[in-house]
Amino acid sequence: MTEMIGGNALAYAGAALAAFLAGSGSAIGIRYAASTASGVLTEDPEKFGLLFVLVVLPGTQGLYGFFSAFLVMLKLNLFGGEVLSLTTSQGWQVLFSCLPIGIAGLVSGIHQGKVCSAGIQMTAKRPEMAFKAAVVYAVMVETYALLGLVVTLFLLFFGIKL
Amino acid sequence: MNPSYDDGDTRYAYAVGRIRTLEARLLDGQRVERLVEAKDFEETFSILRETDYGEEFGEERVASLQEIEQVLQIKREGAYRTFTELCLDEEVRELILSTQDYQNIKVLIKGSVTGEDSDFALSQFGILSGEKIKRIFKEGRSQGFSTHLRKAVEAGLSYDTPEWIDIAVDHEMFRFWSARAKEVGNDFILGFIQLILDLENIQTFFRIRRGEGGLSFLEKALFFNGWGEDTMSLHRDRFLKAFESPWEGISSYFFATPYERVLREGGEYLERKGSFASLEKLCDDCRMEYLRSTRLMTFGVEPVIAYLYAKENELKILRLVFLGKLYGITQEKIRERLPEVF
Amino acid sequence: MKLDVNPTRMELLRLRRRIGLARRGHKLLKEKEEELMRRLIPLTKVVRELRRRVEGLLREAFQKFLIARGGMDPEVLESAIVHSQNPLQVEATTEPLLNLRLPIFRFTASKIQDSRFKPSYGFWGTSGELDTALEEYTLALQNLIPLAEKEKALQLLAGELEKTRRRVRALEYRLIPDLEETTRFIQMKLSEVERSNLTRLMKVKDRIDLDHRQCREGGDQDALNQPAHHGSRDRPE
Repeated sequence: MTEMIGGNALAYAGAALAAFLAGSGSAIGIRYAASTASGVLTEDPEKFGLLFVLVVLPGTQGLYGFFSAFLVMLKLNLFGGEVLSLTTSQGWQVLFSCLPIGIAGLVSGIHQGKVCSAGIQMTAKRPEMAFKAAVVYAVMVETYALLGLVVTLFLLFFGIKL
Repeated sequence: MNPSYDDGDTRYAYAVGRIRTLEARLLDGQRVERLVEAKDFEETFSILRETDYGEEFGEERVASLQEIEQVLQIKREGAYRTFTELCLDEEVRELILSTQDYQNIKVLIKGSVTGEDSDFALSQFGILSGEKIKRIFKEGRSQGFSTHLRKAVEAGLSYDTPEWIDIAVDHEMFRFWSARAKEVGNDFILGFIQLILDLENIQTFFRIRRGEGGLSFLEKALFFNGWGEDTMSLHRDRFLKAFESPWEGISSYFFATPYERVLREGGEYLERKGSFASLEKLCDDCRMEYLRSTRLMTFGVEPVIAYLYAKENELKILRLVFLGKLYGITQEKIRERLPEVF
Repeated sequence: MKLDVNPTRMELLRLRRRIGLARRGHKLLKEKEEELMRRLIPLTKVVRELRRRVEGLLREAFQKFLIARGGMDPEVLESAIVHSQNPLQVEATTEPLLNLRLPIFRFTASKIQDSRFKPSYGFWGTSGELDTALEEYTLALQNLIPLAEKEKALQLLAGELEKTRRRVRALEYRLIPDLEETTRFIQMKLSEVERSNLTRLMKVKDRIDLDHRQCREGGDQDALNQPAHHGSRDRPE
């Protein structure tokens, strides 16, 4: 009995971590980008459209985290009525599968925020570079969050047999 | 994790965003070049029409020097307001703006010593407004000042000639700056204080060298940083040793310092043409070059500081251009003094 | 033009005295004019040279000052200049020359005399260009005061020269000719009066002579002779 609860608890912890870490990363990242964008818009409101993408970009990590957590819930059949009960080892498996997106999301979110902030600063001076460089660089950071997500997805779908 | 190393102080994300937009509006080199080459006032104004100065110099006719100075002063006020608003650290704000407070203290002390009414020369951009500092000073309540200003008042009052009052108060100012910069612990600010101290000493060196007073005067006038002699990038001994040297030899005393070029070119120009224009331009350029490093900083107070000085530099450029146009100074003469843009 | 005077002997004497005086005055004034010219010409050269130098210095100083002004914060510039401890005092005396009093300006209680200028402000914030500008202004001032002195002297001399020349002209072309004409006129008038007096006297004498003869001889003869006699007496005059 204790074993069964332990398995589920670990799986929930995994889902929570994915959402929490990646979400925090996004929140911090957006804060940087949005603050800088506000600064730019204070002086030059017409740049709103240009800056929007750069402010939103660090938000993706949070979505990935949320998506991963949602998958865990699906996997556990949380919405289907009967919740699966996991063994401890299965619980650990789920928990660890969630870590790639959680940690990659946290770190990449913060750094993407900084990159976006720098990109916004560049856009303030050279609007023509907004999509040429600023977004491209931000997307490069995004790649690793995305890879984290892919790893998490593969682990959840193919790694764990419930 | 201390945010000041890594990517900088992220509290300044908003400030830097604003600063970048403002920086983008500063006059660029090309435009300044066109201003210098403009034939007359009319053309100067039409060049400025598309810039940040368009509102003032655009539709209405600003013709007299006084009106121009007024506009420039308003712009200056704007830059100081922006700085005060965006600088989140009280200590840094006090450090940067204190030069205006010290200026006011000098004006007041000199006024009380010479009996000359000079309240019109009070600066309004300090931590304390001109009126406030005057009131406190007149009432003799120097405890109304913060410690560093009180020290400066005491130092200044112990002399009775304007030049020595200035020198005494300026020494106090550098002492305060050094101490405060160390307290703040920001490498950029520490470096900046050291830079202006060095540049000031270089200019003082040349000025005393061609004026009167000699070595003993130089020894008293050179500024210290408060961090101990050995930390100075230009040790006082260098100046004292180079004092008697003929001008060709001076730069060799400063071999392998960042200022070698300033000393060589500025010194040569001074020697040949008897004018400080080139030396001062080179010093201004040095300052701008240092400040330009803030362009690479994503977060932090540094770009905010840099913008204030960049704007002052720009106003200096405009002042020179306008004076040149108004009084028919040749383009070459203007160019020799005109600092580079930020 | 003849003066409007009574043609009397008294007047003639007076006029002759005046002519003498005018001639003497004319000679003196002529000498004065020459002396003034002699002084004026070198002085103009000096003033022209000095003015050229002062103007050059001021132009140079002004340009430097403008550059300094451009490079400094307005309030720093103001406070640097307003508290200047280089008071300038000039003592003004005069020197007599002919009947003129030419001004002499001398610096007293001033640091300006020192060749080296010492700024009365500190180094921070002030421009080295301000030092050089003020130094050059000082240099200009050292020349400006003598220039003022010389230029005023020049003005006075020139004014005096003009006045003297006008007087010389007036004497030469107006007063002396007028006086001479008048004396000539008076002389003529006087001799005419003399002549008419003489004639009258002779006539009276003839009359008296005739009366005497008539009384003695009681005849008309002499009365008939008289005109012929009169004519012969009149002619040689």
